Amino acid sequence: MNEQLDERLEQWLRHVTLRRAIPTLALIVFLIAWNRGIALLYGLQALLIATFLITYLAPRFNLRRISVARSLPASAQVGETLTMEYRLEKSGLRPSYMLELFDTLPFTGEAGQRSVAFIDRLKGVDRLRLNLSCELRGEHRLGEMSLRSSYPLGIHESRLRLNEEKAPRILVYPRTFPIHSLPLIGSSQAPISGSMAASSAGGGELFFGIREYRHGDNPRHVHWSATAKRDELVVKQYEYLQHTHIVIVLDLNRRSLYGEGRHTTIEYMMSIAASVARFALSQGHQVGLFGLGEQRIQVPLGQGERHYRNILELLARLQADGDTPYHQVVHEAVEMLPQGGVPLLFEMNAAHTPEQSLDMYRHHLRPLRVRFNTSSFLEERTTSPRRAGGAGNYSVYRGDDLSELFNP
Amino acid sequence: MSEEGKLAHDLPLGDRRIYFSLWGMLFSAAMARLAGETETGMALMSLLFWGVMFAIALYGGRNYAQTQNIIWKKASDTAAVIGILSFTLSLLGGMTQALLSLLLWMQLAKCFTMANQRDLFFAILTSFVLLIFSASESKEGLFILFIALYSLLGVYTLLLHHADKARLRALVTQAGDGGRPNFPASTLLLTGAILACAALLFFTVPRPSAGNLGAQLDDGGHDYYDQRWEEEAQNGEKSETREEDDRDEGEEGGRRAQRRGDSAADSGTKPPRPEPEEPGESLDYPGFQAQFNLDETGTAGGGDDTTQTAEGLPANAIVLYLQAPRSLYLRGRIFEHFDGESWSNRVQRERKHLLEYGRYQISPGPRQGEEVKQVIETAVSMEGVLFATPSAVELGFPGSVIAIDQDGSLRIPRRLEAGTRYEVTSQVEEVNGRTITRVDNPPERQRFLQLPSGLDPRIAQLAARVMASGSTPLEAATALERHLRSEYEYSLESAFSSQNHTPLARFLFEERRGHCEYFASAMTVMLRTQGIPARLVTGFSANHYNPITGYYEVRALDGHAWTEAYLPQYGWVSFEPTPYYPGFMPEEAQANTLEQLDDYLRRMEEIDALTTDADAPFDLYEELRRILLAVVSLLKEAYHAIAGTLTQHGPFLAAALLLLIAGGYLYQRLRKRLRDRLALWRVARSRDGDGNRFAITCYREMEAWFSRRELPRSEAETVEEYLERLVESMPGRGDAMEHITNGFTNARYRGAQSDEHNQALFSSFYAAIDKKGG
Repeated sequence: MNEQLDERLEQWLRHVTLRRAIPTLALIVFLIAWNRGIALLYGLQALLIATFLITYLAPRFNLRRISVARSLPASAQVGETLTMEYRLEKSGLRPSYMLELFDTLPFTGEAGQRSVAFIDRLKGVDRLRLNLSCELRGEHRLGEMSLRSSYPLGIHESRLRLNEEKAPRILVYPRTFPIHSLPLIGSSQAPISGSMAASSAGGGELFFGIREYRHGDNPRHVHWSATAKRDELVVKQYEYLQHTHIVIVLDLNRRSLYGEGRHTTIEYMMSIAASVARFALSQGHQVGLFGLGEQRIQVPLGQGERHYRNILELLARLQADGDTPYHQVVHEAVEMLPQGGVPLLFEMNAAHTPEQSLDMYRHHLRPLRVRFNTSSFLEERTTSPRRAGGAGNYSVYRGDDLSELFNP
Repeated sequence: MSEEGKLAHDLPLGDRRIYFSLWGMLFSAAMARLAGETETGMALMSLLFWGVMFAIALYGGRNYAQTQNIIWKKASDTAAVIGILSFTLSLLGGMTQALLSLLLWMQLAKCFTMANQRDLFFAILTSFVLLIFSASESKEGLFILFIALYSLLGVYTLLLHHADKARLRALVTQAGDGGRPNFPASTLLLTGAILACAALLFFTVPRPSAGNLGAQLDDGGHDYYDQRWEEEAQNGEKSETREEDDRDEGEEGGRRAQRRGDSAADSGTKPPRPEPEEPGESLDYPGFQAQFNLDETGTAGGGDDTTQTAEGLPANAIVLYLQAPRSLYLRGRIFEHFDGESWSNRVQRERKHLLEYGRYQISPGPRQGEEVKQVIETAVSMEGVLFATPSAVELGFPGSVIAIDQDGSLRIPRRLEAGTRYEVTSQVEEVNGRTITRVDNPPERQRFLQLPSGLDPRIAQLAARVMASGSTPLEAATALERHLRSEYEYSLESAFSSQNHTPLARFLFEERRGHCEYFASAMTVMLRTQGIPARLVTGFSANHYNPITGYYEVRALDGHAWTEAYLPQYGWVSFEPTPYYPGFMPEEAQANTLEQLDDYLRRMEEIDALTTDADAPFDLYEELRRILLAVVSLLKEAYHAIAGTLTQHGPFLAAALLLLIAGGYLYQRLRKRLRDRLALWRVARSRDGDGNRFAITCYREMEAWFSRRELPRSEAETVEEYLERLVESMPGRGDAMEHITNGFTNARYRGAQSDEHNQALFSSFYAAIDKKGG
């Protein structure tokens, strides 16, 4: 009962603002003054009305002859802190007081305008620098900016919409995390020997060690001097410095989008894709990108820093806006890969479909699989259970530290 | 309740200065509350107490907000308990006082735990409620100083609070995280603007007449109880006294009666009366006694000192405040018998009446005339007479019993104490602006046609000569009034000795100057010589309206005497023969507050001229009042000067103002265009000069050009970055912009811009700004 009363009182008090209180008080004072004919109370009433009038006019004059410009870097990465600069200019002799600058900064993950700066006094030119954390991937055009003033007492608010010929843009790349190794079959990360290595194309070879001969080993790899010493057949083991082909197969189906804000499956997907691409390209592998969203996304296999920038820019802009089922995307993507290539697959919940397995088998592909626990993305929870995954399989929960996940 | 809502109310008070300014607000409100206290020493002690207590409590509130120290919570609880006790004790002094005391204590209790914005607003509201109560009680014009001080502190507090709230909301502040903005100049300017606007509204907006709906009279802690009078009232006794019945005047009256050799000073039925009060706090104007000598009257009470009364009360001291819709004559005593030196009543018949809950219906039947409500508060102690304008129909008084005599005068059991408040409603009838009192039965003519023995025959001759011009008794009496007002001079120093002879002849034919009792006596006697029943009335002339407080200020020197003549057609008609007083005239149109202020100041100057004593000791309060008056006079002169100038040169000034506004508007509209023209001219002028210089000019002007179009180059931005941004905004002009930027880089850093490229740069400049003509 008391709680309900408190709640009601709280709700009622929420509506008690100076803007309402001053005219109400003026009315009450007027009624007393009129009833009893007391001149000093008319004076107090005049004071309240004057306060109301002045505080109505002051913000309007306060916002005159002010211009604001903003600048920010052209690009940033999710998680990076960037510096925005606002240049405010007040012309004329009279300064302006107590200004609030509101800006729409979509890359921070907050929708709508928010108060970014409070300026006590502005005369001439002033600059404000604001450090902001980039939270949302994508190409963002900065929204409307406005200057507000409730000077002097916060009773009336006046707003000045600040129009720019062209609002600045910022491209926010997905967050990348370091990857120290990936179980890429046939790559330098997995020592292979004998006939297996021979089946893979390209690359040089590096002596890795020796072992006993097994049936099926190529006789060319027999290490004769060691065989003589040990009196049994011994073969040489080689590590292939092989440049593997990796295709990142993105799931851009809008039905595969789970979660909100920066904790969505697509944000995690882009982060993983960018990080894997960076790692793979740094290791000399060829990386391609494939996805079917509203448009067909296809980056052919390539190498080098420029290629990485291209992939990154594309990953920055992609959204889950397609309708194509993922197994169809995979089916088309594997066509890009030569035999023995590595597709990076993103799967929602369930294990891969039989069609995918067939594709993998037919093209002799050894995929890396990233599986999203989609139900976790629908919850507020930000911690994930500890879990074991086989080589090349990663289970991603909402709130996972991806760096930890990929570098166990 | 949403989180947002909670947040808005629970926001902490970040700025320490808010506590200081709030202390100022509460202290100034308490100061305003105590300003009306009659006991200065008590008021100062009380002020000191509240000042210190609020300071401690707000320090505690700040500490509590930061540390949640339980000791401040306990202090708060203690203050609340004391508040309730104080409320109970203060009930003896009246409900209003008790409630205000409770309010102060409760606010003090809250201050100990003041932590968020809601607490702040409640404290501001409390201080404002205190100010409202103080304003409703105050009779002093200087109260506006408290309002000004309170406004200043209020603006500062709310300014700090608003800045504090905005600072908490913003990501970054101009002053930095630890910085606090300074607002003193801004606060002064704003408060000045608000006060000026309020003054404009206060002085120019007309006000409706008082509603007087359901108002309860506050007894102010006074209770005029008298058992003997109550018994008389219950028995329905009508007392009749021949000669003099001065039963209520006490020792003062007795002493005077003894001095006059009048044995009828006390009939032995005198009620108990309070101890004589401090000198300077009572008014004993002889005209309010049952009998008075002409040579006793006048402000100086018979002396030569016009600056104070016989009791040491300054002549311009306020003795009574009247709240009424217009200026009035407040009748106290009525005299019928004149022996040539003194006025008295030979027959005194009066009846006691019991009041019900402090109210008495004097005339229950319907009456004609305008209903005039008068609320009167005494500032000093005075005779036990209730002053009111004639034809009183209802009375509200903090007592249980009153007496009404045969002429309708109201008396109370003992002296009126300072601070007593009572209200009277009268049905005022007027003829040509003169108050008339209708009577059910004609008066006994002999009582009101009595003349002193040995009256100088010249008086009757003069009366006959002057009154001959009137065709009716009213016109004749008016002619006599006009004659006295125009041919004689008012003087407070005219207490000439009668030397056992009627002083009227000397006043009328030799001195030709005197105070109001001489004028009133002369007119009354002269009317009687011509067969018109007349009587002398004493009371107050309340015509000094203070438009700031809304009260008529009645001063010691306003103790007054005038004449009433019985004209069968009307009843008793009032006449004002004394020239100093405005007199009875048809009511003029209601003046606005500014005109009333002007009138008030003019009258104050007159009073100052009459009563100023060069040897008076320094009085700070009086000096402040004079300074304020001087300031207001200056403003009034400025107002008149401005009004005069506007009247004289209005059209020219209006034209000049219009031109100024139009000029300003055109400049605003054309400013950018003018600067663009100037830029083009500068570029064209330097085209034929040095190549390096031209390239730099082109770039600088291009930068300024786009800066005027909301695309300024930031300080940290290189020319290349700026170029990139410009090209992104205006892709079609990219080449031209790049050309100009390269030209600038060449000229600025290499000094290698050739003159030959000037024309190309010139063309690029026009292309960059999208203008033809390059």
